Amino acid sequence: MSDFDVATVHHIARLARLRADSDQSESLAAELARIVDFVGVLEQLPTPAATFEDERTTPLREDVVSTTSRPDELLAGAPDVDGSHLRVPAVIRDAT
Amino acid sequence: MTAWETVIGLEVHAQLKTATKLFCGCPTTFGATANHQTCPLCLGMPGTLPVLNRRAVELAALLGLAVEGTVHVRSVFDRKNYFYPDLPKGYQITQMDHPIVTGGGLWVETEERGRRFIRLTRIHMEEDAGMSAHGGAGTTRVDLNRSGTPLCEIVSEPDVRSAAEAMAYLKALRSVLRYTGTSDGNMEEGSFRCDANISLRPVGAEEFGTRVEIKNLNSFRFVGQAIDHEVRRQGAILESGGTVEQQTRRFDSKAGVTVFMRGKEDAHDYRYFPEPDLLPLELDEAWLAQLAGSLPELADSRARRFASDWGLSAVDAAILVADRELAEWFEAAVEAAGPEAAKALSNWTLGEVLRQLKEDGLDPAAIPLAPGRLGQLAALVAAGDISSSIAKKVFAEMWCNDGDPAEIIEAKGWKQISDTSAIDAEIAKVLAANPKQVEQYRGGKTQLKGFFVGQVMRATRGQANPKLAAERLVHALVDLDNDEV
Amino acid sequence: MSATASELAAALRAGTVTSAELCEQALAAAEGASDLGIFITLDPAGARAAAAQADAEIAAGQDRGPLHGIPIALKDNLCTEGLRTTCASRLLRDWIAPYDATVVQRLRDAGAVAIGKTNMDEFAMGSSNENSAFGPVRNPRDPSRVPGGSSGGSAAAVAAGIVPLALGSDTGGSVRQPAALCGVVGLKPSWGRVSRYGLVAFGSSLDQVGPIANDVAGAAALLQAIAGPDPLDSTCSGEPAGDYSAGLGGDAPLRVGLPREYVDELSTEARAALDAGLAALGDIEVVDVSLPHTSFAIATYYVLASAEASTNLSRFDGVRYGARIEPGGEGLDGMYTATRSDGFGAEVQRRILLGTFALSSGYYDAYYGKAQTAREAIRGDFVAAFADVDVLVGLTAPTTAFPLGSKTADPVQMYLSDIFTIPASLAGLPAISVPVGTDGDGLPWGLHLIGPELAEARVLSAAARVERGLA
Repeated sequence: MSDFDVATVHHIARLARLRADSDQSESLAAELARIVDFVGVLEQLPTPAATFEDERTTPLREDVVSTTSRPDELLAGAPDVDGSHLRVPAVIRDAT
Repeated sequence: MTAWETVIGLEVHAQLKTATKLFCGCPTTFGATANHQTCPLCLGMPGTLPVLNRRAVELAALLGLAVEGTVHVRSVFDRKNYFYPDLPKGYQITQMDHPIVTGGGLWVETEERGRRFIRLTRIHMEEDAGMSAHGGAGTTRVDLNRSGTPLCEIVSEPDVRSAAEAMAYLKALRSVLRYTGTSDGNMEEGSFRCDANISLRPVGAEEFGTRVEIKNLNSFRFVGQAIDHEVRRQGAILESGGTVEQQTRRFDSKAGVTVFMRGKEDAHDYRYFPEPDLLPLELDEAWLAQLAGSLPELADSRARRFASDWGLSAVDAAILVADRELAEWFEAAVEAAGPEAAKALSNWTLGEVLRQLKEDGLDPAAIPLAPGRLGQLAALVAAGDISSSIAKKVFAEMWCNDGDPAEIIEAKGWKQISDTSAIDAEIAKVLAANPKQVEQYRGGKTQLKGFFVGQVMRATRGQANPKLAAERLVHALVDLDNDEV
Repeated sequence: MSATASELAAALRAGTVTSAELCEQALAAAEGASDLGIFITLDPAGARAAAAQADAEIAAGQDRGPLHGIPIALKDNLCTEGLRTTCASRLLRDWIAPYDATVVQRLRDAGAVAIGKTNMDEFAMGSSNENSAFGPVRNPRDPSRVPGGSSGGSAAAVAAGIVPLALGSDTGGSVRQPAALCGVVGLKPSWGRVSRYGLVAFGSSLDQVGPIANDVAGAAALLQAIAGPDPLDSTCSGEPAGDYSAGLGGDAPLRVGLPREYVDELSTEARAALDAGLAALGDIEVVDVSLPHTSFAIATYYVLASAEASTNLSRFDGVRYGARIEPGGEGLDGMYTATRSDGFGAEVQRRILLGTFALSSGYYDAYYGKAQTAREAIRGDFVAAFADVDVLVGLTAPTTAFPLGSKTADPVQMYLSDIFTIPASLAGLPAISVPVGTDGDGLPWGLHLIGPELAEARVLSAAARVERGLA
């Protein structure tokens, strides 16, 4: 059996900001456990040293302003704004 | 009673001095209207992709070279995942396992501990978050203008041993940032922010104690106060037989105390992994060598050279090098005038130059005086052409229009009177005008000599050679005595 | 519209048809096929304007190339300025991107006429197109069956004759598998061949936009229009695009690798389809090859793609765009959790949870770390194989189109649909699915051809041989 139990589901769901209601979390745990068992095949793989040969590398951009300010268009789809600020509910407890 | 040793490691976030953000072409200018300095990428919109700013890479590499760290030819960006409204993608792009710089360090000097080398663990590049503020009625207002601004995080080894040393380290680091032009190092505008990791251990112990992290210290003074308070707090816990808990705290600057933020059990699980939207960063070796060649001499080395080559005191040298522009101006002044003038030029710079800059509200970069001018002025004083009090007047004139001091003296008729007969004539007038004081002098009140010299200087509007005036005055007074006998 | 893109292009230039007529036919066909759930959003106004412009330009002798005036459909995870981009998610039901994806911009520049946005599995997660907030897509060949996924709408739009060309996106097989199940051509380019700017990310290190077409030449022309370097995508290759149409008629001898891992467990019927494909390839030498790490591929894929997806989808938090669900009184975290839990469908949530788990403290090495190792090994398998052969051949999917609902209960069974397409995705290689006959129920099989990195021209040429061989 895999590492995926109900407590893990709760912890992971909290990290992902997804709900894991107690009625769902057991079936969700079972379902994810099956997936995790399925990917457990990876454990059989030996770990070779990492190599970076023939690797492509990231291009660089010149430090020149290339955007135009268009806050009205960019904020048009925002669920809630206050002037040009985005507005969200306040933090009640510290985010983890 | 156990004696405790303080162990401090510092993490500094410095804003890299670029025109645009780390991964998009939005400007980094401070103070724009909320969300007016954003683009789809700054807002974390779906489908947008990061493209790395060359200048940010250059600055981070330059900083690494300046602290004599290893600048890695290959480095990798990672995602650091957490939810917060000022973090538009739900992750920050940073460098975790393969930072651009590892190692290196900074020399710092404090009275209590002398000169010590503080090692650096690493320097990496990352993007800044936006800003969120209380919006009233249970809401938060979010401005993403700062989102994506390039930062470098400079992480020290736990080599710092006191609040004073921490502050000295931060000042030394800020000096390197400014010398290299990598960052403004401006704490007030948030372009230089500090977190401190603090623990205590019994003196002589090898193992570190449990550390507490203090977040977001935004002034040098607060760094000192926060460390002092935290050391006392942990000391009290340990003295009473308790154990320090691993936690994150913040500094309440009004109360002067550190305050609990979160404990170990609430520690974040950031789920770092390599950023798939960016390929590894590779630096060209030749480009790195070129960059190394462009590195300016840093404050620490410069101060030591000023002291050893020119005999300046460590204190004076430290002030002269604190700012790169001032140090370069001063050095050019000494080069123009010759090393024997260094002491006099140092006095002029630390006195009149700094005073004038302060009065005019100018940065050293804006000194209106060509460096050679100061040497010319000092030479005139040394040659006895003008007195030091006249020299200050000449300096004020020079400051306004970068004038040639000799011409100013000529034009103003301020040349020092070194002609014996002219001075003797003035002395005779002064003695004649002050018979009472002459009487007292002859009665044994020889300290009145200063009064007579002052009168001579006043009568010549400061132009008399004061040394010569004093000499002739003694002669004149002796002559008076002889005449009487 | 059963005509191919090149036939339509010729007709447009001959003046026997106008782009406006093609556009109306396509829009009417889309309306007529609405039961199939192919489109999420049709754009009659935008399409008519583009068609009118194309007609004017063609009349004036201006030629933007083979896509000029041709109707096309876009998968709804490609950002289109001014037209909503939903990713088939409740969360983005009303979201309008303030920018075009690079591929969309290039299609506009090529004069193509985009008629609308096609249905898909939500955020491209799925192999059957049953994971859509807008309902499933049905296979035009048999509406009781799935079209495959996640680009099911795009494949179905071409299979139903609505458009000759469509764009999909492929992360683990999402262009090729639906192309196979719908009986059309679908190409996944090498990772980095086509810009991902404006493609809503699922698994960034795997995602590629790819053409779907009713013939190989159409796929080549569409790839030609969208491929090549893009300063907005740092992972896009700096290599200029090749000429993808020039070699389509070639018939030089080919060394074809037949990976035994792809053949061993094929059903008799599937094996017959594969053999038909090999025969159609013409002058070939078939070489038995082994890709020994194939058995790790699906697990590797689900760990890596889900890990990347779990963080790519963190931005859907109800703060800056998209839907927000606020339970009230629960503060920021309550808003986050409600928005995401009610906004994402079950499969998306499952993958976010799996990916979050694979990256989380204490599990990273066992899952994400191991999967990266496996990915390198799988890449190595291909490098070794291509030292000896020109292309690798297999079937695109182990079965033909399956009935709706038949695999939804078991995610792992569904994941196995992608067993043949995933390895090439992990290795970043170009691969194409080309129709290769039908099963006893008349449902199409797809032949899967894989080439070395950036050898798109080679796989297109090989696919064209199959097409000709079966004609």
